[in-house]
Amino acid sequence: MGNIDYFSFQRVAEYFPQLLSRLHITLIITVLSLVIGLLLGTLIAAVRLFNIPVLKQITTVYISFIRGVPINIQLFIVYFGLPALLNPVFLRFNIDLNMLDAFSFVVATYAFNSAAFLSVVVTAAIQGVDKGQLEGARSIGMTRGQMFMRVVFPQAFHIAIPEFGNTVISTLKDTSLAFTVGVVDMVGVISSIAARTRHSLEGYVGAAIIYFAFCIVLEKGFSALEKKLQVYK
Amino acid sequence: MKAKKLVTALVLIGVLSSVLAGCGTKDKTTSGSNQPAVTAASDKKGTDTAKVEKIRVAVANDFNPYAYLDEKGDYIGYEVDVLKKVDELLPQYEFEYQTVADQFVALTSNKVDLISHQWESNPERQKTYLFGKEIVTTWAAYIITKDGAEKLQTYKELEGKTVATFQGSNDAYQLETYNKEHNNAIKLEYNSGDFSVILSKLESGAVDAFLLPLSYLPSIEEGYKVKLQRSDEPSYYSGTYFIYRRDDADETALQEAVDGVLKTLHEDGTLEKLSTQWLGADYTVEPEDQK
Repeated sequence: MGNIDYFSFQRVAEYFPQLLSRLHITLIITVLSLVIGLLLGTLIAAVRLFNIPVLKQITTVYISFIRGVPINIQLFIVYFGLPALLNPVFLRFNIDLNMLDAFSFVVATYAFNSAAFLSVVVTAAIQGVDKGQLEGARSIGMTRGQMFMRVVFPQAFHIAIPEFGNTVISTLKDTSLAFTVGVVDMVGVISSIAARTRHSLEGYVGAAIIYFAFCIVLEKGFSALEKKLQVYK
Repeated sequence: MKAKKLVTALVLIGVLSSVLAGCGTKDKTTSGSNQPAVTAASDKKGTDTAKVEKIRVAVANDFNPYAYLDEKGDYIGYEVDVLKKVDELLPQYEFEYQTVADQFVALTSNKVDLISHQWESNPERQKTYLFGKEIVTTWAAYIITKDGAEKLQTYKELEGKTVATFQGSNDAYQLETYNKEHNNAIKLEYNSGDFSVILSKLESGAVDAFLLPLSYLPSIEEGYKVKLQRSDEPSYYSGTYFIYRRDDADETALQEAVDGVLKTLHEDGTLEKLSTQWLGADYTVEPEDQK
């Protein structure tokens, strides 16, 4: 029995195109979850900012649940639990949630997840705008809509950027667990490559390079954006 | 006013993206299957116009040589080919292949209708699931040791040695059952991931042996370029089956139809041909005849 040929850079290069061919799935999951998550998160933030009773307590529980439960557990709960919970209702409308594929459940999970984190970001950003500015705006006769669009939103947007960037990056990285429910994304394809070629380490190294490159670009992008918007301060 | 427009735009984006999530990317992106796309709307009880019933079949995507993906992202392997042959002979069914997280949970929670992963039958599983009656493969499992090391022949000889196994596998079940009666005499080391980990532990001496079906040995030796030795006699015999949901009339009908076709495929030599092609020999004969 000779030495097992564990690792070669040549194979990293060889498998790289196969990883890239699945990169779009990773990115689609990230973008869809963030868009839906931002919408949901804004709604949650509104509930918290307007202090709506009962709903506010529900959002508090929701946010601490999402923060406290590991994402792979959340994935399994949504993937197996959501249809079990909601199917009795949906089946009345002739919709069987079990007919949806893993991809939809993955997007739903990451959307629910990022919604919690983004709602905190949005809430903090809006609360971060100085109260005096609102009084000033009111004193020159702005309507509530004008106040929001011209005074609150631009400043809140600026405050939110660094934390928003962090959420984008962590969502991107979290999608690496989507393979656990059967989605063949960039990470999922590694086990297929390993099944075919008997080598997996090279695939993981390749994926590390891609994730790392993306996160560097995102980080730089967000800090550049933040600098550019400095004018609002 | 502007705020309203913004909200409308955001809602539109949301709706569009959920529609996209629901159907656009459905088939090709997630399962990598080459089967035609099927929309969620075509559920079983809905319309009677199409007589063909869709069957959701769970297959692995990383289980060479039984079920895995080729470079194009299509399912290939012995089990995949057997299922495709079965599907061809059953016009009333159309199989769709997908990979799921936990095949047994997916089956009981109604996410799939048939599961396949070289599942062996044992009394515990029989109680919970409906097993096919026709075999997919048969097994003779041997004790594998490093080439040139002391050959280990029986569980008795494994006592005091370290044996590598995978959590939840049937060989783990076998060894655990033995251990229960023999005061945990065999040291079990649980592994995950691909086989290279176990092989390197065997090479370094961290483990002394592991169990492997004969049908799997050539592909391990060839794939990892290693030389292994096996016990003279098998340590246990086994057969693998497709599995269905229990106490479900549709599922029983499916099981009977699939079994009928499997029997034909077994008798007319199709299984033998596929087994030779994928596994290197005929692993559909009686396990006692596998040497």
